[in-house]
Amino acid sequence: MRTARFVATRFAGMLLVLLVVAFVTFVVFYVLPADPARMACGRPCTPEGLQLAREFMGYNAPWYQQFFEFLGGILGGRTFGTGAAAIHCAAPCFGYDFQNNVDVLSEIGGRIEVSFSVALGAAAIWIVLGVGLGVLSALRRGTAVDRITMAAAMAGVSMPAYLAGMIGITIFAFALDVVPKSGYVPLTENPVQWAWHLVLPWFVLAFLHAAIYARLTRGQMLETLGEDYIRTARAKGLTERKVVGRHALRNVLLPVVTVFGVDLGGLLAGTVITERIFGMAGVGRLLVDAIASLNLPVLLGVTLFSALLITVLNFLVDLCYGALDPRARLV
Amino acid sequence: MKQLRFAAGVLAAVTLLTACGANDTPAAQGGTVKPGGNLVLLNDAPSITWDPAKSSNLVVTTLGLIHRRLTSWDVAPGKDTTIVPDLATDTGRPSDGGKTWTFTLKDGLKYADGTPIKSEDVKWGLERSFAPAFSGGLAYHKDLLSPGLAYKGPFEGKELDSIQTPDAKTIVFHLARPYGDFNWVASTPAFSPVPKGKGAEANYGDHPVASGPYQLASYERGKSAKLTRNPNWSRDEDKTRLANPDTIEFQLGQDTSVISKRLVDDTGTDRNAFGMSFASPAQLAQIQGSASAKSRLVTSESGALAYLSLNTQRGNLVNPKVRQAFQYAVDKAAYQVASAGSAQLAGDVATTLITPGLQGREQYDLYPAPPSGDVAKAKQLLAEAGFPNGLDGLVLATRNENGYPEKAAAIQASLARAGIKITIKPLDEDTYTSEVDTKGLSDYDLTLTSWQPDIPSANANIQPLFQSTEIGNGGVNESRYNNPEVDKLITEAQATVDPAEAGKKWAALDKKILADSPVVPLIYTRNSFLHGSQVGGVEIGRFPAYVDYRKFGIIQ
Amino acid sequence: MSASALPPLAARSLPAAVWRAVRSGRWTSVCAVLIVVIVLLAAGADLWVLAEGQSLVPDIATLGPTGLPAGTLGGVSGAHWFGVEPLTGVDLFALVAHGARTSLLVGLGATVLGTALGVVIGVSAGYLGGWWDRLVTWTADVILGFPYLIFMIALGAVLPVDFPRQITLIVVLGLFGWPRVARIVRAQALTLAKRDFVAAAKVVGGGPWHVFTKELLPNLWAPIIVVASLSIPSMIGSEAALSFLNVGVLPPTPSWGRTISTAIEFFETDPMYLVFPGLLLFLITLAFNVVGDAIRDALDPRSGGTA
Repeated sequence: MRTARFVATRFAGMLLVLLVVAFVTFVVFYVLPADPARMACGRPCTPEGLQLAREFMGYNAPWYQQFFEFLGGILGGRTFGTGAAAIHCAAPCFGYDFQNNVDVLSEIGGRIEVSFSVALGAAAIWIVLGVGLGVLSALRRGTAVDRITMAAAMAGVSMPAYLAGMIGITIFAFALDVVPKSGYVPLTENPVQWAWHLVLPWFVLAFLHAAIYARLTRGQMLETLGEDYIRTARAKGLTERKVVGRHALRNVLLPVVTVFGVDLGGLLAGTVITERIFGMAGVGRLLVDAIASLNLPVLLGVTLFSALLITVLNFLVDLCYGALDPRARLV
Repeated sequence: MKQLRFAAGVLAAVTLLTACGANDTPAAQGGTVKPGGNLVLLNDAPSITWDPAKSSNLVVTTLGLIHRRLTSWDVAPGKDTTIVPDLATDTGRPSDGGKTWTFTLKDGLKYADGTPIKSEDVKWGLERSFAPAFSGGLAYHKDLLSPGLAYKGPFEGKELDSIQTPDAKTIVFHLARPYGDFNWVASTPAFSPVPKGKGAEANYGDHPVASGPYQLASYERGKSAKLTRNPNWSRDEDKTRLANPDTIEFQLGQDTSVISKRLVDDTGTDRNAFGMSFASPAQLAQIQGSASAKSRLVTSESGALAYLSLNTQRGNLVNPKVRQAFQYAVDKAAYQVASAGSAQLAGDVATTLITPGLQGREQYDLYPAPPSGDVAKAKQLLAEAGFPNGLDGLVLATRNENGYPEKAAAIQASLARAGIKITIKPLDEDTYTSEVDTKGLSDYDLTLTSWQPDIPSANANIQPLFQSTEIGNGGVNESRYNNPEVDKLITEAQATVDPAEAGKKWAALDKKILADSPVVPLIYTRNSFLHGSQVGGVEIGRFPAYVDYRKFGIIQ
Repeated sequence: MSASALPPLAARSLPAAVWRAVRSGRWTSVCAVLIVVIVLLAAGADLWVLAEGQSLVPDIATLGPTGLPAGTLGGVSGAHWFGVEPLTGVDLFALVAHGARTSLLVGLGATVLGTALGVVIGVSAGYLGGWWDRLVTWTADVILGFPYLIFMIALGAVLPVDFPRQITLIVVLGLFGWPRVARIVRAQALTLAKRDFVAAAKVVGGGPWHVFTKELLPNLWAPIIVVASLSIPSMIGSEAALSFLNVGVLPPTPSWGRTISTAIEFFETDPMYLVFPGLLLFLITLAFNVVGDAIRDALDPRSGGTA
């Protein structure tokens, strides 16, 4: 009962967050001096043409009305224009991309696979690599392994993503020619090629992010290993593996989980630079293109999508936190 | 330049052939262009608009492969671009002083699905372009056929009365005012036939009915498009399109530097590929370093006019003598280097408003000076105008990408030599359009921009930039040039039907406007394109500065 | 972040602790020196460039026939210490020196703003609790969920062109950075608020402001400094990323991010164009990370420390 209420309140909170984000995005772009209907106006663009385009796309109404029409579309679908050439956008309608003749939801849906493939694959690698190396460094504190790992982690944390990506591509894709230069192969089409095309982005991203986790895990591990209950466990005669694996790791994973959630949410939603460097057509690329062509429906859709991801991940992180640490169980 | 290279190429080919003895022995890199093969076009854009009503394509590029229009362009290196018939039997018969234009369709024209092409289909295609759901393409015909855009498309049962189709082969246009260039306008995409009654669905562009040598076999947004032959098209009656490759494959959404690298490397299927986007200055520098890549780089003879516009209604720029000083102060040589690294790749110094390749253009130079400018003369003119210490506080607006900030920096440095101090404000595309083109009064003294007409007519070079109706409201008269006499002459020249006579009028207007010095022409921007070693027939005419896709062929 | 309490540190010894931390290891000292060098480079950019005899003015005489710098290594010579920029001939050392100024100004400014906001909001939320705490936590969630890139682009388009972009960047990065600080500070404030000395202060009659300045803040300096010093490289990186995407400071103001963005295309023909700004960006981020780590180790001895 308590859990159900907790979940319900958090869910309501999530919806509120999304509503606010949508609202703020709407207002922010409404005040932009540029005219999104210009793209649909043609060349030469006359004032009458612009007016017709604005009316058709629904930009003639005041911004609050546009916002309500947008919300209404999510619930019940929307129709643009009248007559035989009217465009129908089925519920849930997150807007219609007039430039590409597709509704925003389908458009994002088509790109999700790319972004998720990049992010989740890299995340799997970096979490294993980062935590593993962090634990190893903590256990072998002061040795060469520790020093080298931490130095590499320092480098990884300090390097900007685009620089690392660029260096990776130049060395592995062009100079050594061991991996494909760009492009994405869908998982359903050819799993081997799918993984092969993703190897470089995965490892570049993993190098950058694993660094954070290695340092974090190491610090947490060292702190935990100094705690009383660990000393007790050791005194009880438990093997080092049990001490570390069952007792220490749980405590260590708490902050790791928190950071992972935020990290992953940011990566999934904000893969702008990554996709540019590796030439992938994911959600980040969609965002950049939409900004360049002032494609408002797509911008709104992508912003909401990224906000949704981050809030959902935050929620999941909090649940995990509750599972790992009974003290932190939320009410 | 291009002729010299062409001649050298011919000489080399002849030498090679005579040395080899036989004619086409297909060696590893040898062979000639033959029908057949698969052409690959690499594009950085994620999508292509195949719907003729929504397209702004030129006649020679993508859309021209599947959609024919009433008229077309004859483009070849070393000669001016001329108008030729396409679906029509001739290039249009004007009457009533240029207010009425009549076209007759050729016999036996069929779509890819076998149905005949009728004049009512051309009318339907044009009517369709007026519907708000399908606007967004080139609209030169709209104001002429329905002033004020009163007509809103055929999907609510209304017809456009200014277009008449007395029979299945004749189409008559009744324009709102005499317009000598209507035959050129008839080559824009909206004049492609769409079967009457069809095309109401928003995604018609994903499966359009083709009238050209190819048809759209498949289209996957963000990924690829594939064209296959249209069995109902015949090369005998379509002289402008060679249609050599059997299939054409578009790869979309590619990263431009990856495209460049793939073409430079020239391996595997990339040998059959062509890069649709211009080579950037960085890529050009890389290409120049590789002998093989250099030989596969094709550069246009001329192109869009890059120019500096001076706000004739603001501050000290109201004085024509002050504006003329700018003509001498600017360093066009530095601008060339900032554009593409070398004068040869950037384009020739420009001294006229009409770009080369258009009929009737005359070459002249009202302000003779070496390419790096004449600083002394600029200072002298400024002193005569009452500014011996130069000018200060001028603001230049430009776009913040495509190398514009760097080019603006070159302009800034060159003007500083003559004592003219400017600050640069780079703006993103939309802000630029709203601040500079939409507002009536501009806050900017100078803008750095470029202009390429959509149709090869001098009209399209002069009218949008210098007619007073194009100030604000999205027009590109950024110099705010307002001269009632020039306005009158523009309308007169537009109404002139005889091309030779019109040409003379436009050339005279060119000189007249430049004498007032509202803009400083900088260069005719050259575009360079890279192709794989098995792609032949890669030609760029004088206009437009794009490769003619209709001439491609695979070397086999 | 663990909510365990820190041993209260007397405010007096804080600067001494930081100083000790910086001198603690060989690498830490090197990095501290590096930071000083780059700060001096940024502050005195005009002087250094004058000493070199160059400026930010283009000069195509330094370029070869294809627009690339004449000479090897991208035109490195006695007159041009870092070579020149292709296509314009602008001195690269001048670009890098002035770019350092942009990076540090925005990085440090955003850190100060974000930290200040985060401390005030976080402490108040942790100490006052109730509806304010809930509102703050929820707002932090919203801000963390909002892609600041869009915001930055929109603001850039809306604000008048005369408005200095550095300030816009500082404000946006600071406004999107305070939740991170606030979370940590709030956790600390929560634990501290339960401590005896705070209860004692309240009993004696100290109002919230008094408790904040006299009781809470002195004990919060340690985590504040730690999170601030680790936030600096992150802010510098964000500024570079925004400039890389052409949404940061506008030309002609130099910025490492924008130079790197252009240099990537020239990597094969003129690698030094990328190496100089890229290396410096990497070094300053690394240096701040190393020093920040050392400070954290000194002020929070339970973290275990690096080798």
